[in-house]
Amino acid sequence: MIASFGGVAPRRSRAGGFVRRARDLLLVAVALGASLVHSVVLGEENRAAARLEAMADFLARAQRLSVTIDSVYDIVQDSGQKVQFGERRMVALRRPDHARIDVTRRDGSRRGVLFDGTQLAVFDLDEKVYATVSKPGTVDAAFDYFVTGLDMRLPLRELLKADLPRQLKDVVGNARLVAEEQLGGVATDHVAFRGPKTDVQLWIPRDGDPLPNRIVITYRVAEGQPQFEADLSAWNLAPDVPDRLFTFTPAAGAEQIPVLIPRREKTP
Amino acid sequence: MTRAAALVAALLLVVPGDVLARGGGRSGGRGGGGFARGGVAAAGSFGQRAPAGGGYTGHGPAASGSFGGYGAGQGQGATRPDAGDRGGRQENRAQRWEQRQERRDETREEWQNYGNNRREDWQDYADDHYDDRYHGGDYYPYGAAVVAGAAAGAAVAAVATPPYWTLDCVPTTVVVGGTTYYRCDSAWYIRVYSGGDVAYTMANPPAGY
Repeated sequence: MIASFGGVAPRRSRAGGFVRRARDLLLVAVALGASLVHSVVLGEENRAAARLEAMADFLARAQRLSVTIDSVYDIVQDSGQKVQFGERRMVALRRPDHARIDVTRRDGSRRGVLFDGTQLAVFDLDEKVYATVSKPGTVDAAFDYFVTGLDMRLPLRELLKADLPRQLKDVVGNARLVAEEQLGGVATDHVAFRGPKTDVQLWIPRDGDPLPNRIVITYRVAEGQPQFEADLSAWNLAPDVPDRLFTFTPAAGAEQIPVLIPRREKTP
Repeated sequence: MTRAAALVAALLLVVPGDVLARGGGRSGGRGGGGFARGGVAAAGSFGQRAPAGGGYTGHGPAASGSFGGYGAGQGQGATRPDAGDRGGRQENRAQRWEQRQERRDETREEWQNYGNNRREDWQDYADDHYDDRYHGGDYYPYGAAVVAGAAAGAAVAAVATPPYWTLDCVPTTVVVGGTTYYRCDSAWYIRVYSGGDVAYTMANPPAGY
């Protein structure tokens, strides 16, 4: 019996050693796998951040540019129904103090905004009206005032500002690479990041200048989570825009009207 | 065994907590971050309900095309709220304001459930006018509206109502001092830029009327 036990015990010991070794190997494999996944994810995070930073730096350094922006955006009605509108914007920018944006909405109406270093001018060719507001300084400051002071629309204003790298600084850390995707036949990096109020996605070409081809913004804490989507094309970093196109001349018969600015305080 | 366990522990230690917390394996395709491809919008279905009639507003947060305030000095979202339906009916505003106030309260409660960090975020949003500008409604006291630009500024010295996108009458027009006035009964209006669009706002009668 004892001999029998003695005969069995060595076998159990050898088997136990084999199981332990197998378990050790399995644990090492799991650990290596976790490490590999981690390094891949971390690498993609870094790559997404790098792509965003490259785009921001590139745009911020551009002294001149023009781009066509075809955009659509959801408007959530009082009923909750979501309705989409759209427009095309032809943007011409000459830093530090000249810009022109011509807008054609899907309904055919045409309007625009100009800045010549001294004044902002907005016009509506169909309503035959315009308004001018004195704002000497840079185009960045003028566009900030245009949006936050005059309560006007200027989609993707952030892209046009020289401080884009600083603006993106706080969100670059959570940028992720969604996938490498073909967009209109162009190989792009699909990058996503979250801001406190929005989810932003950009498609940045993998080759050539890091200028975004497409941007989607989801206003995730707004009612109905509406989206803004823009396709950006015809990027030109050396557009030949004559000075006269940055100087506002009212259309014949156009009437000058004021800009109504709601006060910012809340109601009780 | 001990060495292996130590190795596992060492390797796992270099995985940041947030990466582990995100978890979520990728369900196919390249790219990281664990993005799911499924969802309601992915269906691309028109749904089952027939569209409702009536005028549609073109004002809302997505019209701004702003990245959204995520850093110091960032803009507030770049658009004014709905400013009412395009008919601009004053009598509906109080009711809608109450409804939106309720929705805001509900939304706030939901956010509070997300935990302390999220709650702090929400409070930040409230501080920077977020829910004024993004949740629609008539939170702006239009009675205190001001006017930019020199021309016609005096014509809207006393703006008492929100802008109207259309007038509910066929107005008679009078041009005084280069400004076109629109008259509906005893009310006078002029055109203004408001929220990026051309709208009508009540004005004092022109000189001589």
